[in-house]
Amino acid sequence: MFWLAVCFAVGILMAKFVAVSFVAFLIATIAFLILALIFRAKPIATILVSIAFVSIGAALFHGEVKQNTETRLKTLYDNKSFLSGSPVEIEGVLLGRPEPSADGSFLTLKTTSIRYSGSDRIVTGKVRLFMPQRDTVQIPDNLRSEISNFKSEISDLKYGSRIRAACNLEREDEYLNPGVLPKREMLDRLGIDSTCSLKSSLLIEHIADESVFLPLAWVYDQRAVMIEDLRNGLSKPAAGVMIASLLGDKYFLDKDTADLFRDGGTFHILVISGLHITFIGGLLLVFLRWFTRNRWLQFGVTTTILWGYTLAVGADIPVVRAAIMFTVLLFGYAIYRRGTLLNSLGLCALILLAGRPSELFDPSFQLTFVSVAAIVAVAYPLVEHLRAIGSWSPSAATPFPPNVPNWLRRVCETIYWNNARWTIESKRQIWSANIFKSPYFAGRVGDTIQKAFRYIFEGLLISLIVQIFMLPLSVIYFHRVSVASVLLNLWVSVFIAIESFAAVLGALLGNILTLLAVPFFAVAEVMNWLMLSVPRMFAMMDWASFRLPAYVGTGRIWYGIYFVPLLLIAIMIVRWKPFDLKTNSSIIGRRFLYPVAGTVVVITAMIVFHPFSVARPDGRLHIDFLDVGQGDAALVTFPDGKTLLVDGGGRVNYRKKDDEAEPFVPDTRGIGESVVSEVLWAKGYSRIDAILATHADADHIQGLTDVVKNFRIGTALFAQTPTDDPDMLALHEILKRRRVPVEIVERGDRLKFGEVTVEVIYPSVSDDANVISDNNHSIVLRLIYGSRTFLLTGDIEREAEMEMLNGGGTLSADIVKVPHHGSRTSSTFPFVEAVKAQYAIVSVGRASPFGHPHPEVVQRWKAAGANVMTTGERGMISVSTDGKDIQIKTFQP
Amino acid sequence: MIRRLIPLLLALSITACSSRIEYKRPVAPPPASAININTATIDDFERLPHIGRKTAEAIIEFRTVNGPFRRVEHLMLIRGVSETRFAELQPILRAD
Repeated sequence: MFWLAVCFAVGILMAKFVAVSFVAFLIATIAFLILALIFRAKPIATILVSIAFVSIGAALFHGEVKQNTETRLKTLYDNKSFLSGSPVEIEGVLLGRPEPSADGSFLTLKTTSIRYSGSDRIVTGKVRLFMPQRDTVQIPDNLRSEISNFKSEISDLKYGSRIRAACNLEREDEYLNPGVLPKREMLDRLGIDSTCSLKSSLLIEHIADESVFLPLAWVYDQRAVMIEDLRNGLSKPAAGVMIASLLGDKYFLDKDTADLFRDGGTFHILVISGLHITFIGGLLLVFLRWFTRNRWLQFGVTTTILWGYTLAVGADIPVVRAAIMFTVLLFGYAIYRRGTLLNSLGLCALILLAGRPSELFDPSFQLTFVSVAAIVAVAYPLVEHLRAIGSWSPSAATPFPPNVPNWLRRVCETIYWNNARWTIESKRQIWSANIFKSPYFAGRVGDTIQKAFRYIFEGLLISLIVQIFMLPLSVIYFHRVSVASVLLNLWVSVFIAIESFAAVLGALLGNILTLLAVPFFAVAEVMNWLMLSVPRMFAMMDWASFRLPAYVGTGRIWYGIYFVPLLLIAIMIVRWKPFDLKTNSSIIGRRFLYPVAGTVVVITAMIVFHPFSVARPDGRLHIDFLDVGQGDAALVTFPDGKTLLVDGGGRVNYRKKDDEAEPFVPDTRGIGESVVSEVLWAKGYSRIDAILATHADADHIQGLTDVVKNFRIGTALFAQTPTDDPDMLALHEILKRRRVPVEIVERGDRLKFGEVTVEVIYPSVSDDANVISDNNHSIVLRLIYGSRTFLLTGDIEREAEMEMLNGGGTLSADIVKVPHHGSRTSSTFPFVEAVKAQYAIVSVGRASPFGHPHPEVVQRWKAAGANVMTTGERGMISVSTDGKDIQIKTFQP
Repeated sequence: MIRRLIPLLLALSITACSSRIEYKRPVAPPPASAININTATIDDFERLPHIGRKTAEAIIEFRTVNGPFRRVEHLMLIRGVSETRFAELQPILRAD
């Protein structure tokens, strides 16, 4: 079964990259199956069936691609029948209760019809709407009652409610740079066609409540109540952890806590998936075994509750996957057919991939399957072997002691040998024997301590094996190697389990009497603190994990090669017979094991130290103007390969400053992490030689904080550094923690990067303690290479431009980054005339909230002879020169 | 036994479904003096509190591109009309 699943997966892979039609694969499948039937008695039949499965996989994948019918919302947006961001009225039925979050709620809607440009049509597909929760304070008194009445009607929305919402649905990729996951792909993975943030909940009409299956509605209601109970009973960080890990709503997680989980490589514990389902299912089974021996009853009750839970937490794809897996395994148990776990895993993969072949390319699917396969195929057999070696006593099946090296036998005996049990056992036998065991702690530790030690050892071993198998996926998808995760996974799971019990009991008892809940919630708080204490310690010392780029293009092959020796080791472990005297298994192992293990080490080094990930220096000066939306970030790569990052993008925070004692920062990925770092990783860097912050605006420096966190930085350059700016403070704090030297640059400084001269032509730095760093204090750089010049202008406005013009320096440049995203307050006529650029590049969002670039400014640069390009339209714009020519490449043609 | 259970379960799941409820929100008749946002001109809009020339133009353009407004609330789809502003305007607007 496992091999059939592998064949199926190969078929899907083939279909993705080979252009052969659906029908061809279908015919091939039938042909091979018929052939297999004809030769069914011969060994060739196995091969034929395997090939048939390859073609079934390919055919189904093609079938799925075709399935996106004409009424599907995403198809309509992708073929431009609808324009992303245009106003529509969408009608549909809620697929669950509104999902609460800290500042509003999310509605997932199964759409039925849409009104676009005044005409109605039938559509299918899912949309996710965000409904803000604003206070009604600003609403005039005479209207407050009416509006809040209406709002309370909206708060009645529940599973099955039919609503109509007027909104600007969006389905468009943003941040167009190499290495950045396109938004549409992300939505497809979630199974969502488009999204929208509503301006007001008044834009929703509650039309009807459709007929729903009441038990399911009850489950959804209970979940909502539980979320509310946990929010009321626990502190914000603890509630966030509990609501995410028990109920699958991650919107209450705060950034600090979530980052601790990520750093420690334990974030998967917060995502409801295999671990949770196995834990809950296992617990139920143990509980049910006390009451009944009827396996069908155990199966029925456990799966019903498990699927109820799966639906309650939103039936996200990973949870459903885990539930299917558990059901298959449990079914095997119910029909007294254990088989091998690997076969059950294969069957699960077949079921899941047959249902949705494209899931093979979903990181979440890959992560789940690789980790489960590592446990089932390697960790579990290895632990079994070690257990057998350690606890060996003579029996009919294994009359002789294990044939393994002495050190291994001693380690195993230390962990597993139980002398008391042997004494009892030997008294029950008709024969007597003396056996000599040599555990390291002989007689020095009690049974309980040995047992605890055993659990810790097994936990660490399994965790280590999973981490080894996950390495390539973790590097490709998260750019992270979590050194501490082997230990932290064990630590965090133990405490989160206790915390969960305490929190759930607290929430349940709280419904009877509030006082009863208090001690339980207090225990949960303590557990939460303890759980986070060790990851926090690791994070403080920067030991938890490090970030690194993944190979792209043909370099990806390293990740495939990595699994080859691992598979060999897996096979060796499975076939290892420690009690077999004839084959002297330890020698077979040793002969092959060491070279294979050596290969694993070499390839691991290739992945972790990524010696070939960066392109070789080509003697050209490159500047990549990243598409960071509304903001600036430009990567300068010098002819000798040195790098300078000028600004790092960021989002302007429009939210009011929280006056609360416990301000809540939601766990969202910033531009610095999700765009700038991703681009740098895609280029293969783990070190940037210098970063420069032009001035202290959030859309320029916020992202630099993430870059400093994720990369090794040679030096950080600033002009004026105000001490009261929160973004600047955050950046300086992380620079200090990572021990990055800070240098101040000002007008007149000349920096040399090989043959390139970087002139700082603005501003002068004041020694005043209360300095500010606003637009007109932006650093302006002029880069000179051969006969070519580039001007990077930050956000300077009219005043700074005049000052520079009056200062008398040279401003002319072949390529200019237009000041302040093309705002009308900059790019004055004299400045534009003085620069005389061939290309004027505007770093701006696709739809700038400030109306940037201003048409007048664009016209001004064009009139001066410049070719104007914006990152909003073209995505990342890359310019390069060898000192003579100029080449321009854009992400979007 | 399982065979006997199946029809029972089916019957149970049918009875366990809620019935459909339709909502019709009672709409208070707007005063006769209210402005019909589907026929009002730029000047009419400009006379409203807090609505400038730019927003008025945007409303007219929106109406031309997307057809008449079905509800007055849809004015909020226009940049520059916030929830608060709309709450002030609502009593003197209608959409028919």
